[in-house]
Amino acid sequence: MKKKHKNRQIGLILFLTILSVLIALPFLILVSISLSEEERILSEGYGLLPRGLDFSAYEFVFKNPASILQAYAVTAEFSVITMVLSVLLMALLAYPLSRREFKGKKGISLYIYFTMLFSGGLVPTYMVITQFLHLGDTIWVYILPSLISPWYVFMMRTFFQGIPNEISESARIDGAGHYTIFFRMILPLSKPVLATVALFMFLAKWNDWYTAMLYINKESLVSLQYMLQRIMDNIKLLQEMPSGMTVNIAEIPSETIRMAMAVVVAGPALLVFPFFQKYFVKGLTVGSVKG
Amino acid sequence: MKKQRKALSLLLAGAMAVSLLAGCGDGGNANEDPEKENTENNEGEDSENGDEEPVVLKWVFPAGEQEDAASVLEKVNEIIEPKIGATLELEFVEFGAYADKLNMYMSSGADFDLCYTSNWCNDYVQAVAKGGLYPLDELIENNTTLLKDAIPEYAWEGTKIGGEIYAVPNIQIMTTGNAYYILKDVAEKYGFEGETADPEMMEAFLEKVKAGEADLIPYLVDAGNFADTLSPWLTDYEVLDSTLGIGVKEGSSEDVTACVLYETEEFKDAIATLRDWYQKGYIREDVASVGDQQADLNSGRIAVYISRNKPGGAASDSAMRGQEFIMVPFETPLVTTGGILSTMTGINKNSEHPEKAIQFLELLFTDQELYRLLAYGIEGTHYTTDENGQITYIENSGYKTDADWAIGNTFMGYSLAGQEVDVLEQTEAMNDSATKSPVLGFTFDASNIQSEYAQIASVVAEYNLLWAGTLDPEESYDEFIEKLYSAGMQTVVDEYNRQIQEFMATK
Repeated sequence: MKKKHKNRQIGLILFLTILSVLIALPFLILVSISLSEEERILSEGYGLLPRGLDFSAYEFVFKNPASILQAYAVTAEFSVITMVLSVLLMALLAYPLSRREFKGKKGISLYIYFTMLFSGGLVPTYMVITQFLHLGDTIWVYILPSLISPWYVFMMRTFFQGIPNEISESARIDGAGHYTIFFRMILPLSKPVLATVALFMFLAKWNDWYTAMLYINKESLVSLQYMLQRIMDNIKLLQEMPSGMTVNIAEIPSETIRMAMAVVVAGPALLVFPFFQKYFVKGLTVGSVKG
Repeated sequence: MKKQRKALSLLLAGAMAVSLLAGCGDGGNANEDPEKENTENNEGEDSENGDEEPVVLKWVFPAGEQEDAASVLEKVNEIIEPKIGATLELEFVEFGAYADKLNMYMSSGADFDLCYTSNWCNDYVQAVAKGGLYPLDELIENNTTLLKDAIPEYAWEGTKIGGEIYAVPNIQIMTTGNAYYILKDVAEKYGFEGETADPEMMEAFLEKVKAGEADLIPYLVDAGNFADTLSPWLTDYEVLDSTLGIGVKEGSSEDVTACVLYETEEFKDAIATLRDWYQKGYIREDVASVGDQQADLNSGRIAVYISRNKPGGAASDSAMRGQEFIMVPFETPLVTTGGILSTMTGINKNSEHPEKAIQFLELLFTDQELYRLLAYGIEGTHYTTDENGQITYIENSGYKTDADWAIGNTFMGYSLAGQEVDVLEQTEAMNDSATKSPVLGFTFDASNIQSEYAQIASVVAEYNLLWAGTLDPEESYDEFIEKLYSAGMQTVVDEYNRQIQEFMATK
């Protein structure tokens, strides 16, 4: 009996090991390519170990360190602000919707749900944002339009509904108002869902390039993803339609640069993840063991 | 009863939401109005006093942000303000984002005066169809004297849509026609000589290269690029649409009819030859799966590729790729609509000062100093000139647009140190002496055949390995043609012929 259990354990460990190797490998190859020599990549193909050691791809990406660092700062700034504000606002919106005694919740739910199905379309959105709200070329264009996401609001509402009503009732008996219940009882109990939503919001904003492309012209407000994408676009343009003879594009590493950029962009997101991870695990166990 | 109340509350919530929005709307308008009135007042005063305050022309300029744009603009404004009573303001948008941004600008009625437009970025035909560009015939007639003659007649001809000009064509190389680009030392080693070439000569050469150079890929093929890949065989045809495979026979100026290039004898010959070359190893084995081949070209692993036949082509490609190439043309240059539409400047339909904008363009096309300022910056600050009159950019000078070909007449500009000294003169001569396409000025309106277009495109994507040599023509060719027709090829041909006839009738 015990042996069987052990066998199963070994099988599981083996399976998970293979799985994590499969997940980690592409990333390792990515890093290795970014450090390789362009020439050898072309002649020998990709490899797990860097082909030669060459930092020129990173040199090219960081050729203008001030602007890359600024893009980092801008991106970090709006990602963090959006993450904090959106979680707070969405929780504030989701809480009343989770309360049975709240009368207008059907109507408001429908109103929120409606925006999930229908949107104004790209051009009207663009017009509202640039000509009506005048958000173009400000940091707020990254933040305000993405504060409320209906999907996450409903996710939070469902989670709040799962918290036993007795908890808030007992707080009520002790004389707590809705704000006290919300901030001191509900929110601390909802860390898993808050962390999940926060992480998703953060990643979504971190990877956002489209907003910058549409609304940002000021160099100082360009997001990191968009800046890197532009570097890539410009290399491609140089390769495809030479207008002058001033650049020798053969000297610009393009294969390795692509990977170097992926590393540069992915870095912080990778660092953030473990921080949230413990809440994910908790999120899975919530509700399973209860007295 | 309960249901009714629910419905009522829903209605109320909706009404509240709407009134909330409406409230915002009012606020916004109130804020905007004073500005508007101000500008209107100003304009009124201006015309009364006759003492004009300069108008600001805003040009969405196709280049990355330039740090030192202010000093260039100062000089530009010194030139243009006394002449047309306007100053210039540039908004830099890189080509990577240009099409998307301009699409938004035009759809939302953004405030700008001049923009880049072409058949590959910020699509000209679509922009006209959407009403985003200002019709220019009357504007040119009434406000300019020199502009019309500053640009060759055939170039104007090419920009016409429904008989009306909607953009000013920039002048650069306007011919199409291709050439083989061959690695110089390989060409010398295996004795490739001649002013022109054809596929038979190429075959003999490739055989020697294959035998002698094991490391080299003898011949580049790009299945995604129908027009270039097949150009050595389709020299008698002008390709009108490289996805649909529609073309017209060159030089047949009287009875122009569209034909399906996939059905020509030349095409069949081409795919048979390419199949043969693939089997003999002249074409890389992984051609079906390989993506971007630029890197291989730049590392000198490919002996022969096909590109535009143009003066100085070998020198500029060699410099660009870091490998020495020679250029051997196989097609005579032809001025086509596509060649002209590849770079133009248009005026925004919503521009408040279209007259000033066209006057500015006239200056740009007639005042060499102005053009050179915008294209290259200030001499001594942003570039230096050598004794041949060629220029070298100063590094990190804060103004290097690389957009000389996108903003005016390149023949008024400079050639760059390293190019042939008379490359601009050669190019201009090539433009002027080249045969003009029988359908110059014809642009196809695809709105009637959109579903056929999509279907044919997917059939072509399925069979394009026919011209990479990996699909056997004997097995797949008939199937390919059959599928093309069931995807609606006949409708497309008929539509082309109808539009061509209409076009010829107006000519």
